Amino acid sequence: MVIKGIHLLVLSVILILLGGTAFGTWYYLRPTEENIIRGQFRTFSRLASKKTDEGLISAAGTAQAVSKLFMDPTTIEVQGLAWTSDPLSRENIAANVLRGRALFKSLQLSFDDIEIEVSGNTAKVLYSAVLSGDLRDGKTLREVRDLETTLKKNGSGWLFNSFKVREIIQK
Amino acid sequence: MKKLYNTPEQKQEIKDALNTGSMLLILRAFFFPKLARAFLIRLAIVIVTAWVFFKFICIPLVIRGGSMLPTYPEHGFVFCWCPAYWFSQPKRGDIVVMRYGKGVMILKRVVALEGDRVAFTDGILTVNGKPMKEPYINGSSKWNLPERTVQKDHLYLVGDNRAVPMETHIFGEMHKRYLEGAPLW
Repeated sequence: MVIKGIHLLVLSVILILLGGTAFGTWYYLRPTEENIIRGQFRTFSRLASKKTDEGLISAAGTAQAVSKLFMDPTTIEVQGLAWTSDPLSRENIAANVLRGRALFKSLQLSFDDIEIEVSGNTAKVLYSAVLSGDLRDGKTLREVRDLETTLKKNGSGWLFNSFKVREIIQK
Repeated sequence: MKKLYNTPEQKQEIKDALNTGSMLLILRAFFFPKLARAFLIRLAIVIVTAWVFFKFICIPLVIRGGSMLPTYPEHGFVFCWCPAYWFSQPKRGDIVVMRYGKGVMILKRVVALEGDRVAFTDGILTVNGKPMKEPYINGSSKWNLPERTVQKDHLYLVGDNRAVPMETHIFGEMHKRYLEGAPLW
């Protein structure tokens, strides 16, 4: 086979495309603080979600795994509910997660529109969260909230430190 | 560079189909040509272009609920034109599409901007103390809402259908970061 100019051109285009894809993949997945924080949200979403019924031991393990994503203590402030603003220990969080997930047959927690501002060892994240699922009493739930969360750096990772929850659209 | 459209192979395929006189073969040759390299490349380009266009530029939406009656029907279809606010800001009276959690968007009218004071008195919308003329609304209402100031970077959004009770109507201020675009029509 004789290598012509057109072959070199096609090869160059393919190499450029492959190089661009590799660079884009690396750029998207490189371990910046923002990407590590996004990963923390993905982990939270994955752990909190529930596809089918699960056993008590498995549920307790999941609740404990979720609690390890939080600082000890963590503050959760829900607009209109003053009693929730007390700091929660990891044990409190695990217990609340266990009780909360037990109400659902299936549950999905997703985070969108994530905006991250990192300042030293603290990060402020603005985002929306959707909690959806089937309750044990047969009802279907879909709740959307606007959240502001701070995370603190802990070694090479980040842990949730505080949450402010409010309606995404407020009258 | 090899032609990607109207290739001799495709022309021959359609010509052969026409010669047979079979409508089925003609349609097959037109819509499902042989999986030649040119066809596959064209198909890939069309798929990628369509995905980018309908995912990021012109998003198809099915309307559920009648909060924007009579401007938009209860089970209507509309496209969200995302570039609408890439280089400008929404104004009072604009209809906007806002993201409302994953996979859901809401269609509302902007009635006030940041810093504006908004209130409803016996169904009349007042902005900065002035009653607003709203020729687009559906039905009369008795909505009463104390005056509030729209926060920084927020838009105050209300649907056109005021015939529904205030408690069941989703409206209020929403952060601009959820702005997706404007309906195409």
